[in-house]
Amino acid sequence: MKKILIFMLPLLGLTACNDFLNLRPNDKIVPESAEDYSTLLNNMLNEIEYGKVPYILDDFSNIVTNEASVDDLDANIYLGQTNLPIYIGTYINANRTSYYKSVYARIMNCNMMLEGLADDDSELAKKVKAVALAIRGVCHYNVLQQFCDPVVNGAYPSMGIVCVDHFDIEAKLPRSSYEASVRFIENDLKTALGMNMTDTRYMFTPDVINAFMARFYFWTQQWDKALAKAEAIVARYPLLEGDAYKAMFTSRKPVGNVIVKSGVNTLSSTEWDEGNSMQQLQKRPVNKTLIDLFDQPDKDIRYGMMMNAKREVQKKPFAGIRSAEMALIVAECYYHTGEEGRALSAINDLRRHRITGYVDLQMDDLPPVSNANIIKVDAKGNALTPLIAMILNERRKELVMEGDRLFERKRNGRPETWVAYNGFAYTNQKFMYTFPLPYSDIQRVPGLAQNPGYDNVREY
Amino acid sequence: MKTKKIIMICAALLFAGTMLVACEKENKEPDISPVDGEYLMPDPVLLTPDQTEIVRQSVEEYYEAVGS
Repeated sequence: MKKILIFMLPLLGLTACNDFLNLRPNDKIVPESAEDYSTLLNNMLNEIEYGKVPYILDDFSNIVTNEASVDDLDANIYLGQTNLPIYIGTYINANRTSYYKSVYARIMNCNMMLEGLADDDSELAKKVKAVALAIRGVCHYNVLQQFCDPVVNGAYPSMGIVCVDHFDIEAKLPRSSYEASVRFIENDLKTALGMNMTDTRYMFTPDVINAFMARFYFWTQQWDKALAKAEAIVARYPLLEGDAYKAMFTSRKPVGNVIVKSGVNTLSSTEWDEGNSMQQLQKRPVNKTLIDLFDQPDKDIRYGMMMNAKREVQKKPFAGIRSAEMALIVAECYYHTGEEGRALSAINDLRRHRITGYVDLQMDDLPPVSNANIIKVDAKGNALTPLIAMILNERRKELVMEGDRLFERKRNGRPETWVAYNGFAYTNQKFMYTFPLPYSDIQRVPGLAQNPGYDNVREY
Repeated sequence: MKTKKIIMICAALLFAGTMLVACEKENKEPDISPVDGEYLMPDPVLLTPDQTEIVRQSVEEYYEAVGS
């Protein structure tokens, strides 16, 4: 009997196995306090400050590959650049699906912070929660912009994004409708804004959130809301000219009317990456269609900043939001809400800050729409008028090397263009403007809908 | 002897139960891990004579502007 009992005792010990399996390993820190969560948040903010990843705010190298995939640079003139995408198809497979997963990893971090600090009303916890909400909204917006079809004339596309509002590492969520996705993002950004987090060390101050909201409303064609936000920012950050304008692109720190910027701190590896990317860029000349948009090249400050006499890019890629983008949103919103006089006035104001001795254009002086323009319709699907063509052309000149052109084309009719490479024509087809969800997600989540056009996959 | 048998059966049941719980924990996710893949874009097509001419002009124009 005694032997049996001795035999039984270790067996009884095994009944603790269930709990044992729930234990977390000792070498991992499980955040509990507001300080712990603020460390997690600071890691994410550091990623932006060092400009090493493009998941919340764009970074240097993503802007380079993004710009190379469209037409501000001329991929038909091959000067030996080997590492740049030639069209959107190569850009997609270069990094877009890993981008998707990485954005959701940041969203997961935000949800951890929001749930972990739900009952904590300390000042630090409030800051962390406000920033986590803002970043969650911005991340979902980034996914909406890249992985959903564009809005055309106010009509939402059929599919939205996967909206994740809680921390569950095993969740398998379907895509929401586009309308629900828009509401989700707006709610996050509005709530974050209402928390009035003004500590600049945490980056997402009301000005920054308002700037992202202007972008978001503009992308989803909520013209009135975008206009109100963008006008307020331009009023707070007036347009600059001359040396003050140039300094925004030469200074690593956010100066002038920069509202937010990535890569404000530097590491030697960052500088090496940037130098390498600039070398690659200079092997792809600036496209003549962009050069020809400068009607007064000798007097336009942007012309000399953009390139040298060999058509090599000189403007350093800018990842952030600055006031001129807001001014362009103002002009386009006025145009789409039928206030053409105000739209012209806004675009004249921008040109006045860029062109020495500029004389305002009147409605009758506007140049006709050029046949060389590959964008043929505006965001409402209407044929371009001289006024909207001018607004879009100014946008292209102003935001070159800022990662805007691909989305500009996506918003305005998704034009199909081709690029020559090794004797073949590679076409940017309409479907490519909406990037594919990762193949592994499609397999893992039952019923998760893929975007059209991505039926053929080579597994690896 | 009877008691001994009952104890042995109980012990076996206890052990089996414990192992089941452990296995459930281990196998909560099916062991089919999703693979990743590269999306295949439509095949490029040979340049047409018109397209070749456009490229030729654009290259020529470039070298005229910047010098060779």
